[in-house]
Amino acid sequence: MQSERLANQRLRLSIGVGLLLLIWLVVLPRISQLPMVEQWAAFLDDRGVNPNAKFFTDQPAAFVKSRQVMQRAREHAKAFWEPVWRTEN
Amino acid sequence: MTAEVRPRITEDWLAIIIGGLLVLGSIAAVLLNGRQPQTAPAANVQSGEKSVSEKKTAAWSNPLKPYLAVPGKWKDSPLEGLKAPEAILGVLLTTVVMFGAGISMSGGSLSRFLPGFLIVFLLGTVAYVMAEQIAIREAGLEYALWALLLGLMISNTVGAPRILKPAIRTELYIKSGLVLLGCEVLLVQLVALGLPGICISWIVTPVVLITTFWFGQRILKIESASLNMVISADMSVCGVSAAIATAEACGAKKEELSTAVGISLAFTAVMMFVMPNAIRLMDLDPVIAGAWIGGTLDSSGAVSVAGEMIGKTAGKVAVTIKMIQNMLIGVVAFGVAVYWVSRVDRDKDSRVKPDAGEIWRRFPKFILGFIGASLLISYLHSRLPVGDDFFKAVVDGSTKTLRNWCFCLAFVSIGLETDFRALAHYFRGGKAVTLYVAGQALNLLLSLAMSWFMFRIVFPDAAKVLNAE
Repeated sequence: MQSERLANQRLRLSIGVGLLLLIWLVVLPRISQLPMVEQWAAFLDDRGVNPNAKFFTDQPAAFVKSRQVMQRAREHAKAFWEPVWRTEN
Repeated sequence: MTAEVRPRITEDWLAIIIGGLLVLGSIAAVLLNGRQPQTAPAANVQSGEKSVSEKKTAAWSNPLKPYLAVPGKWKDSPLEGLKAPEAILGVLLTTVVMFGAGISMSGGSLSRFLPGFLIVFLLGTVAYVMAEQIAIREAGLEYALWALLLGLMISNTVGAPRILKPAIRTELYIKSGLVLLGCEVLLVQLVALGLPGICISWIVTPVVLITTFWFGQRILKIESASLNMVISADMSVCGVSAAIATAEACGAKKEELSTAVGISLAFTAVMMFVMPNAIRLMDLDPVIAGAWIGGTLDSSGAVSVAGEMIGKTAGKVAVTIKMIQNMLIGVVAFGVAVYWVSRVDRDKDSRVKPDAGEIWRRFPKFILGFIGASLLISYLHSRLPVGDDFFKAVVDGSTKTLRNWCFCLAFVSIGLETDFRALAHYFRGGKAVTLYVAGQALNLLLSLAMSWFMFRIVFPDAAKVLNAE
């Protein structure tokens, strides 16, 4: 009885592993070759975007982009720190 | 009757020691290596910042970088992603030494920990490789999901083997990773986008967080306050990282963290494509659009994708807003921890407010490690020449990689400890999803209103400056 249950559990795990192998080694590589997917990947690569990023430091280009924004904010401090009604006076 | 063996050191302090040593080791490696003369243009030239980088003659570099890495992206064969196996082995060696020493310090058995850890690490590597397949990667389905799935697959079929049990140390991996994450929070970044950036990120986010939590408790009457808080923080602050930090701050169950992460990843994957299309239909100004995306979407990856779909200006504003919002993680974790130990966790029968000593006893101390790491890197960034380079060398070279591995090991461990039925319990009745959807709807509305108000009414010149690039 117990050995039957164990065999059943192992069978379920094997099916799961088999499915993952099939998807990752056969299906996904084929999907990756679709022109639409290739274009999308190239678009993101060109812009230094990692869609899997958790934190901003995981983004290859985020630091540079934020520094460019920061630089502009420094150069035009009034525009970024003083409300329009104060700059008008 | 057997007396319960008390660990020699609590997990929080252990995480501070492990994470702290890794942070200090990384900083020391960069400082001892010194500034190296640059023979080639800096990496940021590639991204269009020629004027800044071409002037540099020497830059900080991290000698640990070649020995620490995560699997890279691949298309046809997983081996394409494992081109630097020595760097994966470097991470294995570092984590074995650090966590092994930690386990010994806390009175655990190193000989029982090591075999299990090797298997957990192997599962983490497989999860990482799965996430880096191009079709999966470009959809933003990160390693946390696959680590969880692999763990769940094992625990819900044959069950987690006994050999793995000593290495399933979810809390330790998460807390150590959070201390490392502190090293990625530079205080100076708060002012990156002037007052509009602060208002969009630091006013809307706490308002949405508190309102969503209140809605979950009072209107939806969600049974678990910690589940409510983790979903609220995940949705309002910055996705998985915020969920992890808040879950630890309020002592949420592992299944609650998995539930919040699962909901967030599913909705973010959809929203990152829907939002740019909605923005095009609305014909929004790129600066307002970028600020809206940055303030709303959960993960940094999704923010970058959606921002770049609108254009360069929107992309830059979006990642900057997200970066400022990312800084809230420490503040939110600290605030939630204080609220939890002083209000939620206190003995329900007792009407007496816990005193400062009691609050300190219950306070999740690892948050101090997070704050300490952030203060240290911010101080060094402000004092050292070419502080930006120094920060990048420390973070890109080692701490970011180790932090991601810690989280990956944590999600494998969560999967290995989780019963599908326990997970299904949190989705039953649809309250968790309803909470996320309601909170996100409020987030969308308030972020758009604040972005429009800031860049159209109060600081229109700032929008003009950014649009003029």
